[in-house]
Amino acid sequence: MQQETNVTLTEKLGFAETVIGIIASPAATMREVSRVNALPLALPVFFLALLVTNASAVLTETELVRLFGGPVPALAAFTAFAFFYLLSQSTLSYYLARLFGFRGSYTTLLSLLALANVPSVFTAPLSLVRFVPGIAGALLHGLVSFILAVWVIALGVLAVRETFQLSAGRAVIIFFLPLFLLLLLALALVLALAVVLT
Amino acid sequence: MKRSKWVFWALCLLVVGSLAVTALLFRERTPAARGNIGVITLTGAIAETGGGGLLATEGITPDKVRELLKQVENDAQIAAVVLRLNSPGGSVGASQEIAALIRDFPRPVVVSMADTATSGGLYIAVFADRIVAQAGTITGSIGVITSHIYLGELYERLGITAEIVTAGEHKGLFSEPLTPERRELLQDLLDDLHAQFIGSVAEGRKLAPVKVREMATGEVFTGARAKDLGLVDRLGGLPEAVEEAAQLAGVADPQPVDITLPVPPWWETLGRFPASVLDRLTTALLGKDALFLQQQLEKHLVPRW
Repeated sequence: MQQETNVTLTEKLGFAETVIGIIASPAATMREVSRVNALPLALPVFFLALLVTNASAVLTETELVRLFGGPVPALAAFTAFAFFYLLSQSTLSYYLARLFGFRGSYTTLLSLLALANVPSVFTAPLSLVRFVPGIAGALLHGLVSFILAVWVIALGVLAVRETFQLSAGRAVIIFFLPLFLLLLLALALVLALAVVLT
Repeated sequence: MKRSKWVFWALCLLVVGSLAVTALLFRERTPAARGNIGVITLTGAIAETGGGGLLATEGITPDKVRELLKQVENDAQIAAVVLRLNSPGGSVGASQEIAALIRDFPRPVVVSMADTATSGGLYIAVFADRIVAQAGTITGSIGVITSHIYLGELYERLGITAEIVTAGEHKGLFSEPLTPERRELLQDLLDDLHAQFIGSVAEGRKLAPVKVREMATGEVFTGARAKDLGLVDRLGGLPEAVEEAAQLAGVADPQPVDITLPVPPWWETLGRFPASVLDRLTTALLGKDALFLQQQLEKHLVPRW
């Protein structure tokens, strides 16, 4: 495992600098972050970004909110799911990387993957695109959502690359493998249910 | 460093501003989507309780109809209701309760019959202010049906001894073989219900009871024939029904709006499966015979129309 220092990120980079750094120059910021104990700052940034994303969802997805019994339970459920997913992905990626013989720190990976969610704050201005009438609004919303998703994924790959000092190709594999495994698990469960039901 | 702080605060402003504008725009948009003619879709068999479940959309129960009509009553903008009905009928008590809800509803109610509105489906329609059906809609079937299942021999084959103790001469009607005397009792019960059905159709449709009795043989009619018989007011589909509702309520510019039940919170539906999934599970685990037996027992001595 990589040697961690006790220097906190706030001593080197502030909250605002980290957020803007992840958006404007992610590779350099992540490299800087990976040198220190970033978790005390990365997790609040993650939850704040999540709050913005989920608030947009709660405001616009009224049917989904109704399904969860109101805005507060919906916010809580979305947040819990996103945090669970972050933990699952970090843990699976970390152990898969170790299985392949790569070395890095778990807290660094968790911090960087948490920070990779920063661009999701743009879902707030993106929700305004929904009010553009007609097919143009739907297309624009779809296109910008796609770009935003690719951006967050690219930052996730970068987080894995910086944590384990990997090539881009290997980082892509380590990033997507947990997702692939989770999908396989879901598929296996669906198939098992289908076999029981037919 | 100073520049990134400015950019950060600009970003915060953008995010908070966007959220505020989104909230305002959504609040303004919601009332504009409301209409003045409520359309309630009722599909499936009529029963006292429904299957429920996250994916269940079928089944007509008094609770469901009561809840939907209450939504309309609470909305002052809705002047009349169209019930889009597609039902083969169902249990007697539930049909009577739903019919009473429609009869007592304070705003005009128009029934739009879809593919089928037979038996109990027709029963709940007759107290509406108007009935609209397609020429090919299947309706009618003014009659009552039940079945008696005796499980004694099955118990014997399974090695189960069922000792039935009763007080009251005919208390064992539900669990013993049907004797001629008990068959007569059951027939009297169905005849009584049949007379109630005829009375309700005559009252709701303002027809002479003798005329209704003539058509109450249990036979089904097309929408066109039902119009000739006085069971239907107008031939047409949902747009014609909305037109009728608007006319009754004195609405010049009818704007139909779907009235639906709020989606229950996910934890309330957790572990509740749609009836089709439960049927498949029963078949998979216990076999087709078990499912057939279960379905037959559900109908055991329950009068239906």
